[in-house]
Amino acid sequence: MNMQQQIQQPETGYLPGDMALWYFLCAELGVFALLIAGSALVRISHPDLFQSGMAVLHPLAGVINTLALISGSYCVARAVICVRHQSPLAYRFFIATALTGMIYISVKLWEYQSLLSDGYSLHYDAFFTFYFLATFFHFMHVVAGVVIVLIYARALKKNGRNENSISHSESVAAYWHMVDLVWIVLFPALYFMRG
Amino acid sequence: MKYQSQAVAKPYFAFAILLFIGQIVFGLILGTQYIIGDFLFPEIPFNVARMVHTNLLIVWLLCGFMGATYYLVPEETQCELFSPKLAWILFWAYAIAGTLTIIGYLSVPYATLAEITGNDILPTMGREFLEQPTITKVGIVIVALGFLFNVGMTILRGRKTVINMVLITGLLGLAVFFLFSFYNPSSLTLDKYFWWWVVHLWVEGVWELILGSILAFILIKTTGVDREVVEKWLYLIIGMALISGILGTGHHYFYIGTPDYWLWIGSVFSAIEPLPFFMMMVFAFSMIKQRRREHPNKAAMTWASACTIMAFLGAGVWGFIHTLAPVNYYTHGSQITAAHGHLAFFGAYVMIVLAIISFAWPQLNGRQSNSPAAQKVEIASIWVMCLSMLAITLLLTAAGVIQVMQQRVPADGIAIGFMATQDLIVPVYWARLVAGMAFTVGVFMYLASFLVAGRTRDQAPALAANA
Amino acid sequence: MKSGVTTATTALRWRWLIMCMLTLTLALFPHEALFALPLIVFSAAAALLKGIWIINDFMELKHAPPMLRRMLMLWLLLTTSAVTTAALWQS
Repeated sequence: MNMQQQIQQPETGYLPGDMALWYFLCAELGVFALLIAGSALVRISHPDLFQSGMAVLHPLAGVINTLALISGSYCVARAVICVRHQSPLAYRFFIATALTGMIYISVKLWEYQSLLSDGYSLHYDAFFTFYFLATFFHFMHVVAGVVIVLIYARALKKNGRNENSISHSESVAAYWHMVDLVWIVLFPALYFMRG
Repeated sequence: MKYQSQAVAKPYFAFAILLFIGQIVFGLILGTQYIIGDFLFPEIPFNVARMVHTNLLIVWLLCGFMGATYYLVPEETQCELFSPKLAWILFWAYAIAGTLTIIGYLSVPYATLAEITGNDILPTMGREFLEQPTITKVGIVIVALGFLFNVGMTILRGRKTVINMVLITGLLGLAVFFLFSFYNPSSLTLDKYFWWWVVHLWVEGVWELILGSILAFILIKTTGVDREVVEKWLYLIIGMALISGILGTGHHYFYIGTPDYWLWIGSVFSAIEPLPFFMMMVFAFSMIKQRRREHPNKAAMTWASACTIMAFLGAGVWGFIHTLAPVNYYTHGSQITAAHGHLAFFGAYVMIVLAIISFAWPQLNGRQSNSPAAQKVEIASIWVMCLSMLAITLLLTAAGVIQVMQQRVPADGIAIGFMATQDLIVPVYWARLVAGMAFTVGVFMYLASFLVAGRTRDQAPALAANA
Repeated sequence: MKSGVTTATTALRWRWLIMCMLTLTLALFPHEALFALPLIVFSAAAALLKGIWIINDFMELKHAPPMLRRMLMLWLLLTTSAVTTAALWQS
């Protein structure tokens, strides 16, 4: 019963996932903060570049990707709950998470392809330097997230649950949520805050 | 020493220390030449002394890395080295080639050295840190291939741990990136662009893998903390080091003819380069805090933990000071760079090599650690070296600030010239020379600890106790 | 025992649905100059709300060591306000 209580209502001070991983995630968030703050500074000094650059992007692609990542976050959070309760559904939720990631990857690749074929690239202007730099760095994180989730799902299915499963699945989820969190800020900044 | 073949680490360590002493001697000569410009001229001009100082550093650190690898890999793989004989042959090849190169630098003018070594067939000489004659570079590649073959075969045969996988990845990267030293395009921008693939991707990329794995090895051995915990930290540190380090190369691409976006890539990614070093510090201290045994080798633990602090300060903090593009616009190539270079190389790489030597040397001599008396001298030497290197760094930073404020920041016509600025800095250079001498005292104390260890060998815990 | 799990997943499901709706609402906003300012304010508020939920409920930092939670909240606040300020500056 005590165990169950702990599962349902994590006690105050309980850290989901691994401590070392949180250092890593904070460092990663630091990089993105620098990128985002840098883009805000450039936007203040070159408003016209942002105005014209943002007009070129495809808001629908942004919306689909946001839905995909948020749904991925939901799935991976459910997966963690399933791992805690030893539910076999955990595996399916992890796979669903990876699928949402793949949707994101496909849409983003399409977006890159269409922008590049229209002649926009890292070199084009300050806006596109930021657009490609920030989103590509983020894109690589989604790719890594999908790989990590798939590897972990496979290990979970193959080896079954062990005493480290809860902490490991929480770590995997924390990474995914971090990637989602970054996108949640990037998304309006790139597609909707046109001014 | 658990495996006989670990003994091949000994000559590598000994030669590394020998070259380290040489490097310090040339450091003192350079420190003096900053004040008395024609000191030892024309026998040893400044440019030659500088080349010898930096080349000795690289050669001895590589030698130390090889020694560390030969010591660490049999223990990690739990099997003997593939071929100790090959390791010995490569040692002599490396030692002879290294010594001949240094003699070449000192005995003939650099242009003559280039001529007699056939540089015109494949010109690779004349670039900072990569001054070695082309034939020496070819020799380095051959030694590296032999070394990687030897280590790779050992790892293939034995247990594959995260530590030896990270180590071999680092060593492979080291060898691969060195190949860019053979590419010498005539465009100065392209030349610098790929030159940094060797220099930056070594010290802020693959060398960090080597540093991380040696540190993790020492910590596992001395603290007895679970391998899994150490490995997890190692993964995260390496991940962070590569994320920040690879794109951090951009901080060398400011204002050298590369596209503008490097200003942003370089600034953003190198701004987080201190983080892997910070994590290394947290890692070392939390492992020591969670230790499950009291290892008698306190000196090695002091080296290892101090290494993480000094690396964080030197590579992390002092790197960050001048890494943002708008700052670097003014500080590029000033004494601030020299301050960073000194503390970073010392903190990250000199100290980790000395840490593994401190850990391994007694074991290679059949003792678990040196006697308490010898360790006392060694730990004192660590303090003296660290404090004097910090003093050198602070003084060079002061010199750099004067340089930037007098020579770089003021408008045209108001700014004073390079040599006039150097004259202003002379008092600081004197203080730096004193700090350099203090560092030399530290080195002598370190050497003395070996003598004390030999004399008090009977007081050292025997290796048999190390189950 | 069962109810605890159900509550947790129900809460997650609702948050997920609301976040999806907020995102879709952004897509439906008329993209005209007249609506530029409301769009900036709305998208910033939506980002903040989503971020808070991700940190508190998805990452489960609500009960985690407060230091970590505060750091992430600070990150969210700083980045959101940076992009919002830049956008408002422009308009």
